[in-house]
Amino acid sequence: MADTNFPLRATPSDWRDAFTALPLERAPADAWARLAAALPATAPASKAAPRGRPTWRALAAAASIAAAVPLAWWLTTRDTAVEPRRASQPLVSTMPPATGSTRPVGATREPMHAASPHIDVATARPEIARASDRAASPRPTRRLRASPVAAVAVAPATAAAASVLSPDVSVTTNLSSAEPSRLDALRQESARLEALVAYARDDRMTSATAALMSASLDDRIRLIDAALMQPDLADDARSSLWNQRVGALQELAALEGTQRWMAAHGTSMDAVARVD
Amino acid sequence: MDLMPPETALAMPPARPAPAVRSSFALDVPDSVLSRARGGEHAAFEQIYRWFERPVYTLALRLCGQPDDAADVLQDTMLKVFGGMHSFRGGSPFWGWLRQVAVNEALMRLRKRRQLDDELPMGDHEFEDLTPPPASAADAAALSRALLKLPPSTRTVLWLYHAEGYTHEEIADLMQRTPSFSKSQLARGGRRLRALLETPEEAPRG
Repeated sequence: MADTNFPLRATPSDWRDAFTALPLERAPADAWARLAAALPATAPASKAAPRGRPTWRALAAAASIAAAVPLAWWLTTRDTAVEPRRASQPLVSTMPPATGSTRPVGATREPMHAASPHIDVATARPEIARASDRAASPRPTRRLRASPVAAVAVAPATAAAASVLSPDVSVTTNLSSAEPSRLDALRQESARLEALVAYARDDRMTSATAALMSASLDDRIRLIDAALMQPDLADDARSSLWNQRVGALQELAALEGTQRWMAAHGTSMDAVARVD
Repeated sequence: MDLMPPETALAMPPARPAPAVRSSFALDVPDSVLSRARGGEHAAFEQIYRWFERPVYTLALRLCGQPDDAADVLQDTMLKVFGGMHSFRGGSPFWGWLRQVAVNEALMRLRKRRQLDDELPMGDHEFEDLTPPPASAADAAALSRALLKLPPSTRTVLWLYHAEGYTHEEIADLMQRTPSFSKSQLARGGRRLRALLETPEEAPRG
């Protein structure tokens, strides 16, 4: 634990001051995802999820998502930067419905184009080759709009992940309707992205550059969470904050996934930075 | 040896006038959110979870001392809170009830591992050290490390008393000990903590 993370304060007057001044600790990134998977389902269409830690199926599905993140990150950096959606825009979920349909959700998505030949998702992680084989062919022919998760390319795996990680997912196709459904979708998306980050993150093989970027995104998410804690938050402000949270998690998921992929190929972000 | 069954763990704390509380749990949850969460709405419960995630995890980490244990306590606490939401009818702050569940879960974990048997030896005529902490107590990292070096039972008493504002009688009830035990551990724990902070490299272990 680096002492620089804990700046010195005035000498406390008593032990109570000293203890209450300690910063709150951060729970594991996948804590909510674990809990959500263990909660009893409330929607009639949802299926009950087993309590406890995610199953091997969820791990395999999430690993396939993590393998697809570098592709999505590449697509994202080619396109415009990822921006959190404004509250007035309909939400475009990056996950297909839990029923397993590969049809993208939302009417505003632009068509996808074929995946880059430079990033071979199927071979980057041999242990999830089976899950990604189906997803890798046929090649998508439409363009993915600014999403770090190439959900369509690995639609069957993500559908499995969505159904296991969030057993009561009910992503609507008409997201311009009621505010609560959009907010629910944002929260569910946030939970999925947290799980993805948790599986993709590995502090043992991080570069200095990536660690800095990751910490910056973590700080951003913490600030957003602190803002969400305000009890009198207006609905539009809450929606905006959740949009921002999803956007930050998308960036973090892309970053962590790229880290894992580059480490698997013997490179690092520091090496990339030095090249140019 | 769980002397506090799950039903008691979810029991509402008695309503009483509360002094100024500085607990990290002291958050007012809007009634609208509580109502929706009581109805089983996951989105509302997630909002409650977000607010209390770090206070619960921090409490669990301070008491249990291990991140994995703290994560499990967080999970178990929130599951019990979700399951018991329907029985929460107000009358006392929601945060107090949630905190009680968290404390009970953490203590149950320590009790199962017999870690509450690990304490500083009690002596006669223990006097609480009322002198201010050393300057190094302002160093959060140093204070956190020093706390971890205390026996779990002693650390629990210190944290519940100083950070969460529990009385000696409440601590004794939670830990199935006497108020004298709580006072003794508080006094000896404070002195031990001071020694650890003043000489972190040379303080004797145990």
